[in-house]
Amino acid sequence: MAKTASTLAPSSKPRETGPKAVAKRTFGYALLIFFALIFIMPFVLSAVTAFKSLPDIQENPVSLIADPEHGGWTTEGIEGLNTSQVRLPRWTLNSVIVTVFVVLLRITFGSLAGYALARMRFPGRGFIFALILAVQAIPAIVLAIPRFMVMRQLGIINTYVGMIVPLAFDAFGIFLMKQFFEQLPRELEEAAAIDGASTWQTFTKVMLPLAAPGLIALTILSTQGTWNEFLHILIARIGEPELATLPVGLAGITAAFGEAQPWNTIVAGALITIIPIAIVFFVFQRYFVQGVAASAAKG
Amino acid sequence: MRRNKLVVLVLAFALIAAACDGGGGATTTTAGVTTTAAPATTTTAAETTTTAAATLEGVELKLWGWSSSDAENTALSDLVAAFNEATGAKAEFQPQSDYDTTLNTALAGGDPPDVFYVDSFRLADLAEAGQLAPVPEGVIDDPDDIYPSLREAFTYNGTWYCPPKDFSTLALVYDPAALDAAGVAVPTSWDELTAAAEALTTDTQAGLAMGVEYPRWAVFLFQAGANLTNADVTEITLDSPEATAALQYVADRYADDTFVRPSDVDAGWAGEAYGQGKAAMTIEGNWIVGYLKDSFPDRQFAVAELPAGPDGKGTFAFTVCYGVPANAANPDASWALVNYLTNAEGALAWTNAFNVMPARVSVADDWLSSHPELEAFVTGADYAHRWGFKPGFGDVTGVFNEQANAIVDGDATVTDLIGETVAAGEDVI
Amino acid sequence: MATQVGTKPRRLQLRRHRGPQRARLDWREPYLGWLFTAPALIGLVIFLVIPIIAAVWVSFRDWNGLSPIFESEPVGLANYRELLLEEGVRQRDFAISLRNNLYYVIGVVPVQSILAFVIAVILNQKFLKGKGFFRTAYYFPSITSSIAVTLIFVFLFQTNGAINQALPFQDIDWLDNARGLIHNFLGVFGVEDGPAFLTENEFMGLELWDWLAGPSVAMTAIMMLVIWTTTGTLMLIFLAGLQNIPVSVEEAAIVDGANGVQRFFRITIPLMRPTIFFVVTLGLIGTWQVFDQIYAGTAGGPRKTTFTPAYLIYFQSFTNSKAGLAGAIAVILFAIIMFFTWINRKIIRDTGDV
Repeated sequence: MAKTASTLAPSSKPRETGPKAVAKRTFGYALLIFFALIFIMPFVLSAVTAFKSLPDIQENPVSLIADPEHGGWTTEGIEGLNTSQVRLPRWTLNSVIVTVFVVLLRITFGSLAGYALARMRFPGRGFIFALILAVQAIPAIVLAIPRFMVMRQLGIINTYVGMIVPLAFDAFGIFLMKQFFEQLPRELEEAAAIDGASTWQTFTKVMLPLAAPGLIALTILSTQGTWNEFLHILIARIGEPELATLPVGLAGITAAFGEAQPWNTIVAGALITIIPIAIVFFVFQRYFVQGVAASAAKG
Repeated sequence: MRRNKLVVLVLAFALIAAACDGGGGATTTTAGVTTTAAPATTTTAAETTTTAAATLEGVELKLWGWSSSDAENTALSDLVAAFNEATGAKAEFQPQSDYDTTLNTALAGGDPPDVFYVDSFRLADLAEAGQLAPVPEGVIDDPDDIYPSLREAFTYNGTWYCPPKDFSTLALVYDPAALDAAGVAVPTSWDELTAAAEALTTDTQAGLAMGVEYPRWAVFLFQAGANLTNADVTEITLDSPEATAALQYVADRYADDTFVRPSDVDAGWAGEAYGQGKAAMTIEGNWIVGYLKDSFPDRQFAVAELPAGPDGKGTFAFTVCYGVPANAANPDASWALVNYLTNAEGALAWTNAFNVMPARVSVADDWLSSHPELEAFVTGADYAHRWGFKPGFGDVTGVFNEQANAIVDGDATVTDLIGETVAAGEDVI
Repeated sequence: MATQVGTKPRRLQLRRHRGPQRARLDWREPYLGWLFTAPALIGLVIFLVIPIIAAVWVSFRDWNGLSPIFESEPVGLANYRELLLEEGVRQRDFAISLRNNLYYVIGVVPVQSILAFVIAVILNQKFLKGKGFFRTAYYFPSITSSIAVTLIFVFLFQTNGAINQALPFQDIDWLDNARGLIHNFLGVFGVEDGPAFLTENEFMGLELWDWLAGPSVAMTAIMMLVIWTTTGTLMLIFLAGLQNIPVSVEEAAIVDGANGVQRFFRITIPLMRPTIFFVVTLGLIGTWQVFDQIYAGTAGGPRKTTFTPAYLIYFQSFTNSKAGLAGAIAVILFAIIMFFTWINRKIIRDTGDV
């Protein structure tokens, strides 16, 4: 049982020097970069395509530089979005309102229910967990009309409430938080209990901070899921075009092209939807620092 | 422990019950509709109806349809705005991105729009479901002016449901220069078509590009006097010698590469194949004209009637009408809007700017005067067959399309196609 | 406390101490448990459970999807019989959709899970530079809505599109090729049509030979599209799960002399079990309901090789006026998904207390 002469920081290998190790590292990075490029290449290509002219796209789909022969860089793709139906500012506002509220509600309900299912003993727990799984196993499309009828009974069609509330109740979030709470060692709760904390205190002061990575993941995924949500918004604001969110509004524009496929416009529309989420993700992913769990355990 | 579960369930039901009491309102509002006997004092034809007209002041109307292009959206919105000015109503055109989804939900959910597009293909479904209101007496100006074949397309079980907004037919679109160069005249019979397609097929260009699906192949059935079903869709009639001959004719053309499937030449559809110069001819509808002008402005084309088969000429009419839901909030207002959009003036105003054809005989010449080169599309109306069946028939045309593609791939024969389609049809009927 | 690498001694030992402390909180837990889950539960019941019950109810009726649900006629098990037992076009279409989706699930779930896990582990290494960049890059595809990214892929996979241009050998007609991969593979060995006993026997209206066709080239393109998009999301979840492992556990293992590989297989993976179960279950649930990509991309073609049950539901419900049949498909699909989830649970042996 030789002790390795390494720091106690986890997941770190001893920093060997020497040509073999350097070569291995370089190769590792090269592989990572290669795959990273594969993952972002379609987007880079799309971003470029949004600024090419249509004949250029036909001729040189792969090239990253606009062909001067066909007009070089042009904004005609973006301009194609400027149809009589476009309402970008309004749609963006709607998207923001809906996403913010849904995410807040999902985090709240998800962590509460997730913790209860992970740690508390109460009758019917197994049944509820089965229910959580079961409701995800039905394709949303088959629920479209029944859900519309329920919302109509509640009088929330064509309202913000109707767009937000049904999305806030989401089995996925509960499932995710449950699994993350389950991964935390029980000894932490034991410690809190020994110190005289109530369940609520244990939950808010000990478990929730520990589950921070899970909460962050849930925030990111919920933001992305809600921002891109299509079917529910389509139905919830069925008679009211002004309430559309960005994806739904843009779908109306791209659907209007019929047989002709102006790729530069279509791609421009897709890209507009991506940018806000990319920003959110980049901001939040910085919080994935393992130190959060470490300091809590020592405390 | 059981108690807790029960408590929650009771709470849930109580919540829902409470909500049900308070909710359930429709979202369309109708300002008070007052009936007056005096007609409105504007000059548009729609207003000079002699029946007692309800004033439409402030009535909100929603018109649902799908978009084919932004230009069409604008044009229709303009037309609706003119209606609003003439009557004081507040009608709005709301194009839908996923029409089937939203319309079905609105209808089944009890919250329908006031007027909506009905494709002839969907007429049977809507009529059977009792969701369409039949045309009341007298609200539509001059109904006999509408082409009989189109009126028939929107008649189900003897009831007429809606006036068409426009129509398109299939015709032969060809490259005059290519035909001249190959020394062939425009084909007017199947034999001439075979010869022409062969003469026009070169290494870089096929004779004719045509989509491999029922809405295209069926024209050959019609020209041979055959059909998939009988007139009232109660029997599958595809297993006849005429049908077999017609389908074999088409299959043979694909087999010797004089006809080509668009995807086989890297095109999304036949129009694109033609536009890119990969085929010298194509069988398509009016919409190809706008498409070519936009995407392939340099591509020349001319239009001729489809060649006649052993039993004469045949083509499809693709048409959409303005339907009024059975439980419309304000049927009088809805029909007033429908009439405005489909009477002679409305029909011409709408179709003049585009390449779809007005559904009324009286304005056909007017339209032709501004679209002289598209005459072949118009004459098609005389012998066009409707595109529509019964509810649930999508399964049958799906099988037909699947088998047709298999034939072109070389994996099936015409006998297979007929056999499978007839079997599927018998299942459905 | 002496620890051994490879077991979970701390947990086991502590369980013995649990008696008195657990008892103190026990009397409040049933009520608290329900209280914590109540808000989520009420919402789920109203907006999910009730519509699901409606969908199940509709599956026993002949509803056309256009008139109000209550006007439909009850038909008992007729829809189910049509899908499963009666020879006909509906049974065959359903069989085709099941076959397509099965290959899709088998292809996508393992690949996306393993790929996401490997990437997450790599990106969790402390010494790695540029973590932020890499994480964003790998997550990027997941950010877009599936419909938008499908449009982008259709553009890229066109026959004269970017993918083919990048491939050195012959162009593949990605989205129009209906031949199954397995058939293509066998074709290399000269096996063109199946042996008689496979072509002559049918199951649910589909020749056994066709059941073994494998995914078509078009379906494979969609599989690549989906793997490319979901790997990022799963990587994110795995990352969070890895972050969840307390440092103290790893430190103890290092102190006891475990090297990297040992730590990975004896500590990381067992502790990640709940997350792994989560990711695979998510994958199963998601892949069996694949719809958006088909709807926006191929519409079931070419020749029905990208038909999936979820797409069939849409088609029957909204285009073909057979919403009752669609409900039955949904119920059968539900049963299939729950079955796969159950198997997954047995295999991964999720040690959660549920």
